[in-house]
Amino acid sequence: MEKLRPCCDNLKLILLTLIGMVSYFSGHAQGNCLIYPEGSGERTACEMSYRALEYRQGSKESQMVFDSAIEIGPKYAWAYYEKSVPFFKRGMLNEGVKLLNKAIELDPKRYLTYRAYWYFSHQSYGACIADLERYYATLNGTMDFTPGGDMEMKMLLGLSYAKTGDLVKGIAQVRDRIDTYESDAYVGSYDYHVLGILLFENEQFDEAAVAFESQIALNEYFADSYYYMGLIRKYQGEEIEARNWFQESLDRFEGRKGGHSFNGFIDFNVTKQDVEQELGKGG
Amino acid sequence: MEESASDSILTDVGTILFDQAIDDSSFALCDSSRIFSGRNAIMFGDTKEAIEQECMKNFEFEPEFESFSGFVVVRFVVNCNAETGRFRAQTLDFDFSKKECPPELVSHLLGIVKGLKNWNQTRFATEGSDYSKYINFKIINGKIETVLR
Repeated sequence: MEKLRPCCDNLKLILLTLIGMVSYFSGHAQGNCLIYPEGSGERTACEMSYRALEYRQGSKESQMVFDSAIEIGPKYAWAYYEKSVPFFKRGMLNEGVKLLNKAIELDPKRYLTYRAYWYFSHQSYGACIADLERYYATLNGTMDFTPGGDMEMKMLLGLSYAKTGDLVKGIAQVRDRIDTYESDAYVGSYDYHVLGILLFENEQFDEAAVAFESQIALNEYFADSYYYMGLIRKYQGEEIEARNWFQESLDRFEGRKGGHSFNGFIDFNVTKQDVEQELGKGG
Repeated sequence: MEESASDSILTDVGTILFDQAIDDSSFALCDSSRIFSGRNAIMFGDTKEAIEQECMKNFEFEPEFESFSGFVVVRFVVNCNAETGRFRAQTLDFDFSKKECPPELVSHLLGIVKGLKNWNQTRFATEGSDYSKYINFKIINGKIETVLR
């Protein structure tokens, strides 16, 4: 595999983050009510939903306004979606999905990825795959991001395939996304890290190392990739180098060297305990 | 303790109202005007992994559990004194639709959650406030695969 291109300075990272946020908000943002005919239920529901946003998310006041909007404009999908959000966040998954299913019924291309995100977050990988395959393959969906803008949804699809036993397909999904980027400026915040995880799980250690090194070149502060580099070197019998990588990871987990971690990979999250355990074993 | 009928009264999403039929009346809120929600405001133990480790340690498989695979979501309230109460459980399939579950399994998991004592407010919490919290047990063939929160 050719060496992945080294990436981005901080300015490009900021640009990438902004692009992710724009993509997310344009995909799930409420939008312009004027696109609906004047006097229509959808127009009224849309305008009412703007008023609902003036209240705290999840408050009874906001929920009451959404209920009224839905009653007047039952085909206005965004109201069901936005009403569902606090239910998911607060663990009321059945209530949330019943609302979101209505939004998906009305506009599947716009809201499938949101349901897929929650399935992934709760490790329901089969359901996540079903939604994202429908989104990308059947509906020809374009790039879409997790609610925080951290990862493009093909990362979740790739990780989900890995958890259901199909690493090859998972790797293909992630490579497919990375290969579509026009330039290094568009590479996702954790794309190379996800690719590295999947290659590592498939025991393609040399290629995984290239991916993690590319991730570190993009973001030297991200602790998790250093941990995986440590694991790779450990499995390759490079004990001293492995220990150095684990120490670099621990430094960042403990906030030194501007370090941080990220727990959006769910089953593939790395914890400070993981790193400490490796160092305690002698790397 | 399935979702209580009183929870259908319009409140902030996630609020768990006192239900005399199923709740311990000795559990008191510090501020009855509002129960906050905040996934990061309440933490169990010192690490993110502590809750899963504790739940796994206390879980005892029984044959009658085996028929169930899905989610058991337990919601509850943690008051400003780190005491817990108002437990509610819901059993779901992997698409989040409702699914029947052996009551013994639900009861066992509720008992585990009720037994968790080492709750702390993090720096994201508002002092003096009460918080709703949830734990989602991913169950495969009657055994805990993961504890999500």
